[in-house]
Amino acid sequence: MIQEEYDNIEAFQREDTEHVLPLGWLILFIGLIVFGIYYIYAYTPAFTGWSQEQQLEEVMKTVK
Amino acid sequence: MSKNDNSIYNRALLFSIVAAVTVLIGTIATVFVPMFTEGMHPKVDGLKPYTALELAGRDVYQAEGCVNCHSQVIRPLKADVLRYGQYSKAGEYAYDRPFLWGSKRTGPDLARIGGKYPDEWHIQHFESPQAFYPKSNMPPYPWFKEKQVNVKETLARMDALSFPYTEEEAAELEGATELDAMIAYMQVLGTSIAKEALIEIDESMIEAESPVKGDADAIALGKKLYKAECSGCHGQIAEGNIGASLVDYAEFEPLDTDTYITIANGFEGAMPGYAAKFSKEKIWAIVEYINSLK
Amino acid sequence: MNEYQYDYKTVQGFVLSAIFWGVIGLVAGLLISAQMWSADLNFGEYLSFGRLRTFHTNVLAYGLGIGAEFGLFYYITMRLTKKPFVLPKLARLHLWLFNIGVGAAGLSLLIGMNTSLEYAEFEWPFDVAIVILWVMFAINILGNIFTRKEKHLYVSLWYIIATVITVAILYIVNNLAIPATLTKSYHLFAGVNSANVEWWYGHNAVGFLFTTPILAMFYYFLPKSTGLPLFSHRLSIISFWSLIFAYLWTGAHHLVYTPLPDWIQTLAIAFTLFLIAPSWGSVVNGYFTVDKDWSKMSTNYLTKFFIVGITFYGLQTIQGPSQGIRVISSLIHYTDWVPGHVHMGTMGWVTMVICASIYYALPAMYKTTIFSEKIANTHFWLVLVGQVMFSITMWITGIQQGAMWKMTAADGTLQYTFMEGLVRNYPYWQMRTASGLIFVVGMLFFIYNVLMTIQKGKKNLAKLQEA
Repeated sequence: MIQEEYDNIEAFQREDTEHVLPLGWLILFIGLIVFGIYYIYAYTPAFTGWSQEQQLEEVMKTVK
Repeated sequence: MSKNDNSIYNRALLFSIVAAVTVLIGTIATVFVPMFTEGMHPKVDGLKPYTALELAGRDVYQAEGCVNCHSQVIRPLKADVLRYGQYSKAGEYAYDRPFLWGSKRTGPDLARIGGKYPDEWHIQHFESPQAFYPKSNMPPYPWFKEKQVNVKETLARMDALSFPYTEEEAAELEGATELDAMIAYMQVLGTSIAKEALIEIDESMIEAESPVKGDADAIALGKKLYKAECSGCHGQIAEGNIGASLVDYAEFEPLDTDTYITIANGFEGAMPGYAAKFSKEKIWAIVEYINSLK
Repeated sequence: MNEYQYDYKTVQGFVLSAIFWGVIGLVAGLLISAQMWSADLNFGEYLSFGRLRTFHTNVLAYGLGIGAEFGLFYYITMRLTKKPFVLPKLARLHLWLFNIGVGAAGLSLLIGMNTSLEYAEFEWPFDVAIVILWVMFAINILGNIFTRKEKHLYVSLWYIIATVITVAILYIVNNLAIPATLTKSYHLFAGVNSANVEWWYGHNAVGFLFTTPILAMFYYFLPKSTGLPLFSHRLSIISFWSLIFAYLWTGAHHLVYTPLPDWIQTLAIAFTLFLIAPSWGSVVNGYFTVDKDWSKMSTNYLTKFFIVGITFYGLQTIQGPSQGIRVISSLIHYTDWVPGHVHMGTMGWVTMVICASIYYALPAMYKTTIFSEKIANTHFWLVLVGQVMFSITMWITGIQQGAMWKMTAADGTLQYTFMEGLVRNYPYWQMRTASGLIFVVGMLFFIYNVLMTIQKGKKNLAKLQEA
């Protein structure tokens, strides 16, 4: 019978950088949450009255 | 990595439960909650359940994977509305199980194909799309006319959907082919709300006679456009096929404005209108080409 | 060292099955790509485009994709739980039923059993079979995890658990149907609701069949094959939870400008954009892991598969969310841009990482080394070139299509007829077929390498057993 070697779980993860969150990435993460909140506010009919039908009406005014 | 035994990353059951809850939040908010709101179950007044023959056609549409190339939803966008007609309303789809909006337009949108062409157009087009548009990539469907609709199967499907049908309608299925069924389905699509032409041309909107009378360039352009869009129905040399012979038509020396308005507005159920699809110059060019056939 | 043997036969069986279905799905893909520019290549009813395209997507998703995932998940799970299968016979049965299922279900599409719900096209008897198969899979995976001998759950196992749970929820809900007869059923949901449920499923099927499982492989095989430990545990944690939380809100970005209520579309678009962050969390984690020693890119042949694979994942997850935005969607939705996008994901990310994982796992199971690194490198460059050409031609023609559909003349009428727009795609579609061919040739190099490695490995195992 051929012997198996274990996967050593310790070998998968670095100790020194275990808790690091790269700053650039963190800014992206938070920035997208902020933008998401703004976007939901701006494009929800109940908040701002925006609707895709109304958007079409605006555009069609330019067609005779 | 946590050395703490109580960490969620050391407790598989707890981890699984938290993961399940995490994925359910968005699911509940955007799928389950809307399901119970009015807004997700609208129905326009003119909408009727599919007849047995229409349903059989819809099933063929599904079996053939038509949804791979054709959408059935017109967006509230200018170009969509100009090309395909009024934008789609939620209430037009109340009997669609499943919805067939699609996600690709290798072919054109079909949401308002109903009444756009006569039945004969569909018969010939399914047989050979290339007879209408030589460069079309749509597969021909010659087997539609050979295959009979399975009456028992279709009625079982009607029952499953609780769609009403009369004895006569059931009898109508007898001997019907898949082609009949497909045409019935095509012709009902998008007809539950009254059609309103986006642009309706009348004499006041156009010149009293062709501004390019006898112009060779205009005739050449008209011929090119005719070959691309009109020759399927009116024939390669305008000798007539599904549509009238335009050679004969030209013999009558019709008024330019009459020809123009016919091309622009079309005839419901017989010929599509081109007012939104062709500029004035293009329509006048076709008028001149037709005049030149005399 | 330990006293037991892992049951690798089932893992190997799944890997070979996945490759088999992969070849069939790819050949179908080549044929439909040619049908796009020549209708003459529709050979009758059973091989016409509509049926064959459905066959192509399903055989590759269910046969190649899920087949490889079943096999590699079993491998990873056994390794990370330090335990052989709890129920090895169930796993073996799972393998056999999987192959019978893919074969029968694939044929059912060709004979016209098709619900027309994208990526859920199988009719209800197959749905029942798929759920049973998934339950068998879940029992094996969760059985191992719940009785594991290693206390800590490594990142890969998080993604595996999330996959097992979420796919079950998605598949069952979206395939709820009213059965009419044995061969036909109708979606339980109608109209707008049907659309909302289907794309919640459709998008998350991508998320939980082509994202989380491949990330599970990435997080396991990248450290294993490079010998470099994972950069940041905390970054994996935040990326994981925010990814699986946000994904489920996003389905309606497939329904932008449809009659679906605006607020659902808006929520979906906002969450879709947010998904860039968790996706790039994994990309960054991968980059920083290899950052410790970039020379691995040239000294270790597998590193480039993983790094290029995760890079395409990164590009995919920027492109995808941007497509969700209304203004971009209005231009490129319904065009060939979208297949270009999908194939960057499937050919550049999913297949790249699956192949690399197989390259690592197969020799490991046979206690040998890869048959030929040179062939693996040839495979790498061919699939890379094929995929990039494929995607780029599709993006160009997609933008052209969208623009031609939109363009209006000075008097406000449409500039181009539909046919005028269509024929302009043909040269690009021909290039797409050529790109696909390059990709398939690359895959043939891969398959040859795999089969030769197995040959080599079998001899090696026999030798080891004698000793």
